[in-house]
Amino acid sequence: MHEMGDGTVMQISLRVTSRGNALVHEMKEAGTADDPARYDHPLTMLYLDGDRLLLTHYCDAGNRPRMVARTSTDGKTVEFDFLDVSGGTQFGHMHHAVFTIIDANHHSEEWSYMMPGDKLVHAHFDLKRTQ
Amino acid sequence: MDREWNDSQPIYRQLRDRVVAMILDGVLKEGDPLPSVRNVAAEYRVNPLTVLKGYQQLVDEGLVETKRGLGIFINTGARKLLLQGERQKFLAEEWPRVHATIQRLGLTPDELEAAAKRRSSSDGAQSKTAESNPLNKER
Repeated sequence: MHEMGDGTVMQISLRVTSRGNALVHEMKEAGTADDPARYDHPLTMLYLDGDRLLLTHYCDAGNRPRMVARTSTDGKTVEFDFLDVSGGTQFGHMHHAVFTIIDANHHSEEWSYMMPGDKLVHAHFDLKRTQ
Repeated sequence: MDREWNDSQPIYRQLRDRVVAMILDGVLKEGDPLPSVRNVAAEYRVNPLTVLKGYQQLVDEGLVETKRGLGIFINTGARKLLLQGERQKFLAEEWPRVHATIQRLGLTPDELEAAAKRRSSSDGAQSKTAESNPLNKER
C-alpha cells in the first residue's frame, strides 16, 4: 500500500499463481470498485523465461510491453529494461520499472512511461505490507 | 470535471482533453496553476502516473509549463493555440460527419440555432451546480 502526503492511497497486490509459475501484480486506487471498465487497474505478470525474469505489463493504453530483469549485486533491487511491445504505441507505453526491497514489509516501485515523442514520465511508490 | 471515463482512449488522454476543454471554456485561464498531481489523483481516484502522463502531454503540446518547485501553469497563448488546433481538428474530423447528419435530416439553420440556444440556457443552469470542480479547489 502506498500512501501519499495528502492521503492518496494506492494499493498494490502481489500474488503467486499458476502453481508458482507467475506472479500477478495489480495496482489500484484505494476505495475504487473492482471495475476494470471504469478504473485503470493495470496488471503486470512476472515470470521466468529460461534463466531470465520477465514482466509483461497490460496497459490501459492498449499495449503489452515486455521487460527483462537485471538484479543488483545485493539482490535487493530488480530493474526491468524494455524488451519489446505488442499492440499499438500511439499513446506511448510503459518502458522501465525498478523494484527495491527495503525489508520484509516494505518495498518501493518506480515506473517509467514513454510518452509519444519519447519523453519519459516517472512515478515512485513507497509501499508497506498491509496483510 | 466528470469522473466517468470512456474506453475510447487511455485515461490520461481523457484527462488531457478535460483540461483542454476547461482552458477553452475559460474555466482555467492563462497563468493559472493546474492542481497538483496528488490532488487530481486523489479526487478522481486515478493512478498518479496517469495524471503525470496527462500533464506531460499538455507540456509537450506547449499548453502548460512546469515551474520547478512551484507547480504547473497554463502558458500565455495556450487558449489561442488550442483554438487553432481544435478548430482545425473539428473541421477535419468531426464536421464532415455532423454536416452529413444535418443534410440527411434536413435541418435548417434556424432549427440548429434554436437548438443551440436551448442547450446554452440548459448549460447555464447546470453550471451553477458545478462549483465543486476539483480543478478550482486549489485556486
